[in-house]
Amino acid sequence: MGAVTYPEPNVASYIEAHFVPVQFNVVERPEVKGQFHAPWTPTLIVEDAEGREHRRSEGYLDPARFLGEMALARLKASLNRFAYDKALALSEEARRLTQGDPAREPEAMYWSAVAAYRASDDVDRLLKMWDKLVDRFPDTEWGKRAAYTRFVK
Amino acid sequence: MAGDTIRWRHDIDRAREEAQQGKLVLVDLFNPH
Repeated sequence: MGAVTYPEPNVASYIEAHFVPVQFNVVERPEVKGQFHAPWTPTLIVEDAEGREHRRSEGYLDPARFLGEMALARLKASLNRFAYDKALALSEEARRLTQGDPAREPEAMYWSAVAAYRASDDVDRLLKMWDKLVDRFPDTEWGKRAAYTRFVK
Repeated sequence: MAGDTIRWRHDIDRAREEAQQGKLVLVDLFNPH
């Protein structure tokens, strides 16, 4: 991460704009592994000011996947805090920054649909967006999670 | 925007305090070896 991902200007500016970044070298500070329940590195944890964890990623991420991961973290943190209008506003960015990432693009579509539903209270928005997700990514984990709506119609 | 360098903090409590301004905290645990 330190050799490739963090030196990337887009990554650095995104972190500086949206996060307070904290870094721990687990060799010098082995106690942090227990503090954060993290047996492996690299581990990335996104939490709020109260220390509530909203997302965790283990293993290396290149710049593009890192940005998608962080965008998803911001979207999920807003949903978890019931800040639906903010989540809705962040969902477009999450979809844009995860585009082409087979692991994260379907997840961004899933949570964007949830944000749209929660912000509007219009269940049709959820169903239409999940329908697109299932059409586009039927064999992914998130596509399968959304697919149940087709069985209950 | 603070340019192209990440200003890493190394104290979680201070970082959480700083995040009260409306940001999230990003924790990176790494092994240099």
